[in-house]
Amino acid sequence: MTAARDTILAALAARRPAAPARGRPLAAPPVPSDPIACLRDRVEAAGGSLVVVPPDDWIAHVAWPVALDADAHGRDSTSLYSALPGIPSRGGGTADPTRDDFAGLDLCILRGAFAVVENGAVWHVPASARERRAALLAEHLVVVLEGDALVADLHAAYERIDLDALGFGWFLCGPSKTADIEQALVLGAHGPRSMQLVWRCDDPAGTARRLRG
Amino acid sequence: MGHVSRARDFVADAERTTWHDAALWFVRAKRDAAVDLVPDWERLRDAAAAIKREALARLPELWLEFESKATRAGAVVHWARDAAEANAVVTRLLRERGITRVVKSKSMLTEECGLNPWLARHGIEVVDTDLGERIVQLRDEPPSHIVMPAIHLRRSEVGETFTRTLGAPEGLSDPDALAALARRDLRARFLAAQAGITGANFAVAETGSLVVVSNEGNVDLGTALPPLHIACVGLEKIVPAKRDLPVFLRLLARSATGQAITAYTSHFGGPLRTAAAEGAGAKTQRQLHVVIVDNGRSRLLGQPAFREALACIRCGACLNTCPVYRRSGGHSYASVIPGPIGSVLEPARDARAHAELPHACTLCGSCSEICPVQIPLDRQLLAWRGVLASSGLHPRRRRLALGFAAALLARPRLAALAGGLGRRLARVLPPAVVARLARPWTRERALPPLPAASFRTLYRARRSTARPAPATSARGEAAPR
Repeated sequence: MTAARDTILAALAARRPAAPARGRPLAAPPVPSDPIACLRDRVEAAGGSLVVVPPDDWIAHVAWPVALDADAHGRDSTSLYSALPGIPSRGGGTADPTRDDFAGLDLCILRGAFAVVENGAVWHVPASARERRAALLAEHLVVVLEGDALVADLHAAYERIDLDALGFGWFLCGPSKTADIEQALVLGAHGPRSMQLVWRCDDPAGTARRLRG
Repeated sequence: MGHVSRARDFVADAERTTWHDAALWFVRAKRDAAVDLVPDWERLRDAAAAIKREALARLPELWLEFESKATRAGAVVHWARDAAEANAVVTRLLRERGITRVVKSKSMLTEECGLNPWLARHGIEVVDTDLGERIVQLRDEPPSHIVMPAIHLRRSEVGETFTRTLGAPEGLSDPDALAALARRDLRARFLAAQAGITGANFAVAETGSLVVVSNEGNVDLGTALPPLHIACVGLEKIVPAKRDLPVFLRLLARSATGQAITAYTSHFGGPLRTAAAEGAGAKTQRQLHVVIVDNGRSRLLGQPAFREALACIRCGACLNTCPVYRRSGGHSYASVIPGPIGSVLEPARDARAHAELPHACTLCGSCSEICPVQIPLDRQLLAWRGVLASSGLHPRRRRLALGFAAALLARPRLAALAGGLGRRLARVLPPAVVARLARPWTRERALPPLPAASFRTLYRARRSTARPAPATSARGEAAPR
């Protein structure tokens, strides 16, 4: 094992090219004139949707893919995993921490950190391995963003990410998808079939102004 | 004549060739549309190429830094000089734990190492989980494209494959229905898997993290469900720092499929940091093993004419744009990686086996123009031809023909004489015979009529009679002075 390591490192050191001059740092790319329209375009191009809602009473403003409440008989007709304090998880194995398969989980609701205008992705750090599994095994995914939670581009995004301390984190952009059969787009390849980005914000125009600088 | 004869098999089905060509051009057009929305695209390419140049000059330091950071985060780092060592490491990790069911997401490196057949021989079932890779695995074929493994197949063929292997109803060819069938089958396999094997798109030295991208979510299901994650990483995948990731991630998906970013871009920082973040709730001890694989990469680093190919981020853009690849299909290359980048990398691994690949190229240069990390692919393909010629690896017929041409062109009088003889013969011989002599150029087209006089004669006549002509013609050649 160490033989392999030593051989490889020695070969790399012996054959390396001369160190080049350091490249100039990349200037920040221009911000689109309407960042929120751009974000919406990118999210929709990825097969997702974006809804901007007021922070209060926001749940009523969202077209949820499945009913959030139990039905009239008090039974859970649908199941959901929720990372939001105001919405309780129920059904689909969400109550049983020993179950990992989340069989039949209809909806997963996550709390995103921020969204990236240039590509429509949202940064999310799962609170647990279970949360990550729920995000993959649910039929539908909703990611909720709060407040002034947009960055213009990926460069700005990584300035906000602390990779050093990170166990696992991901950018999510639209539902799971494939075009492996004759380039025909199919949503829900392995994971969620839909993804909705919900932005709770009382001043989207203010965020747009900040991004434009 | 390997590539030519295999390409002949592919183009025998004209309808398929036309479809294949159009499908890949469609992806190329999507790439163009996505790139048009990025005002600083060329600056990004410059930056990416510069980062890769820096990384190639600092590989030992960067990998040591990665090793130390990843180890501190709880990952176990392994080193493998070649495919056999890499396969042995993976096999040992699995057998030590009594693992027999493994899911794998797309990794050209494990394809290159022949990991699947190796594990199968050791009684370990590996299921490829990328839909395209699953399709070709069920057909017992290699992928024909590095991003779209089943791009050579029509939907009806996928249907037939699924009827044979997954119990799909006869005649099923709807992509939604086929994908749903595969999803159901693979979901059960994800849940039953005891380990997940992935590749990696980027290894970050500064933080010891791995970044893996996918659209289907198979990388994530394969690493979120089973407790053991083995990532196989080629030596060229290292980038120095976190700030380099946005440069490559902005280029990668746009170049590959015309998406601004893939559906999933996952960052793995190691099991200890994961556990720390999750507190006591972590149910099982999760493990991350990283296998760093050389397999010829350090040798390529020592070849100045070709080492820039190590900058490749496997986006596949050069395949999609290549007029030869689009019309001959990935399998015609008989290599792990087809297309322009494969034609550079494969001869470096085995020059004798892949000596024909640098000739599967028109030197149009489209690949170099489109490459997000500015690999000079067309120049490298030309350079390979020189290397292969001087190593005597050209087929006998080409060696003789090129030797004859070189001898003739080195003797201007003899060349003029031969040219005159040729023109005369072409006039007196029956056209069918001339066409036959000019094969293979005349297989798909007629030979244009040969001029009555040689270029030399025309040039002399022009010089003696014409006044000085305008400076350049439309094609830009200089006028005689």
